[in-house]
Amino acid sequence: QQSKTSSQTNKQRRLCPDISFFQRATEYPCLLILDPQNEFETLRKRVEQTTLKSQTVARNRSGVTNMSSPQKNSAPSSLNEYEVLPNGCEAHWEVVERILFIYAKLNPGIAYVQGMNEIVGPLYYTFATDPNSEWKEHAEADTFFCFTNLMAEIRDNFIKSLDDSQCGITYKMEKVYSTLKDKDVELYLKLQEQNIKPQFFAFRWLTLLLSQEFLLPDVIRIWDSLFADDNRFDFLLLVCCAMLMLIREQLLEGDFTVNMRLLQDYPITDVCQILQKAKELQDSK
Amino acid sequence: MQAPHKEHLYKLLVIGDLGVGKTSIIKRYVHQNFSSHYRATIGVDFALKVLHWDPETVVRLQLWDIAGQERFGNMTRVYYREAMGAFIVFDVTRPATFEAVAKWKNDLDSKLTLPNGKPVSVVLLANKCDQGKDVLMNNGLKMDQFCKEHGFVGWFETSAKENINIDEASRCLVKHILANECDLMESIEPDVVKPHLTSTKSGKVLLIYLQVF
Repeated sequence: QQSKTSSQTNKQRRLCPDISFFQRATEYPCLLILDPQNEFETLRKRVEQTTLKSQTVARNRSGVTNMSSPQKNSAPSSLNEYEVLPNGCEAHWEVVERILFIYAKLNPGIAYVQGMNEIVGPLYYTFATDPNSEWKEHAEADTFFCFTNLMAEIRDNFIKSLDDSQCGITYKMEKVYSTLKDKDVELYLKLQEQNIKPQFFAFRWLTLLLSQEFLLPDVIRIWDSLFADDNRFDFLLLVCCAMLMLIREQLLEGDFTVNMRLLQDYPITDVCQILQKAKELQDSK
Repeated sequence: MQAPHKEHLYKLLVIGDLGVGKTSIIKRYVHQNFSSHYRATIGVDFALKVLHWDPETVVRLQLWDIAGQERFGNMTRVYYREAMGAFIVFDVTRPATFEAVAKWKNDLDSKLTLPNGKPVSVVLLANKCDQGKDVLMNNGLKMDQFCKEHGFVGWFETSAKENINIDEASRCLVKHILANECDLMESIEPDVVKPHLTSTKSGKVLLIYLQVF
């Protein structure tokens, strides 16, 4: 028998960063590689010919192509957006792919882990859209430098064997809850009572430094605060707490499902409000 | 119209190797759309689907879309908890993802059982069947055999892109869960040896025990 289905519509968090930018050609491709005189094995060839039998995997493996552009559902050309550009051109995502590829080769112990693309994306975007063309020109090298330095501080989040160590992600997730317990015990008890584990939402918040929760310009704004703070990754914990406390009334009222949806599709878009709250929490120590 | 009498809430898992289309299947099922843009799931995603099963019954499905990359393996135990059923997905165009199916099934069965100790119902999804490369699928009998051997309640060729068989697969899984639940009621009631069989309660009891001692 036919069962009639209904569903709730929700905002599509997964298409958050509106960056068709990454599919456009860079003004500064790697000429050395693109020059047909040099017979370098390019990632285009490598990626196509080795592990990547289907297009989907190619996107997946390259990581950066994950930077999807939203609101393209109506565009008939949307299926072709990740086709490689003609010879002599390089899309921004190919530059980012190269950065991740080289990082993975230089750091075989970590290699490539899903989510690193979400870390490198905002960095590259910031350099590659700089109004000063000199900055733009060196976006690839500068991004690589910054990404490597940033990863030196956060790479433990990406290493499975460290999950349960003092520097691993589990410890940080628990830290979010213990900080919340300190700042808002009623809300903490509510989440405990509903058995909402930090793994259900804070894993992504922390690992990706919130880059999947907000629009790209807002992510950059948040990162500005994170990077400006001497204890920035402590501050990240406070930002997460602030995010929880700012929706406390909704969370205190909601059931498990409602609350999971709130935490998975965070409803507040005003990041300044969130940062302000986090700063308050920091000052009230 | 008659108001529904019965409401069921089930937690369902969607697992399988990375890039097989778990997120796309859920997106098609819940939001009725498809995007060819891949974006890796980090940790877990969560969606809700409400089924008007029959005039008396409403079934709410909590769909837990679990990241496929090996890196997230430590997280699965906490995501699996109290699930009532699962879809294991593979990509028909990539044989390696099919080879991983048994691994996912074992992982699931080792970390999750129903309150009566039996494994949860699992439906196998052969996704991306629109791609015309489904070399694996030529032999339906073999697939039936595979499902029998590995304890799947059924299998479907699906396409999130073309919206093929996703509703059907879900109905199959829910049907088995409903049937299981009837069994569960019967098996639990006369059982005096294990009074805390409903999993949430036993979990809490254990927790209290640990805190006290």
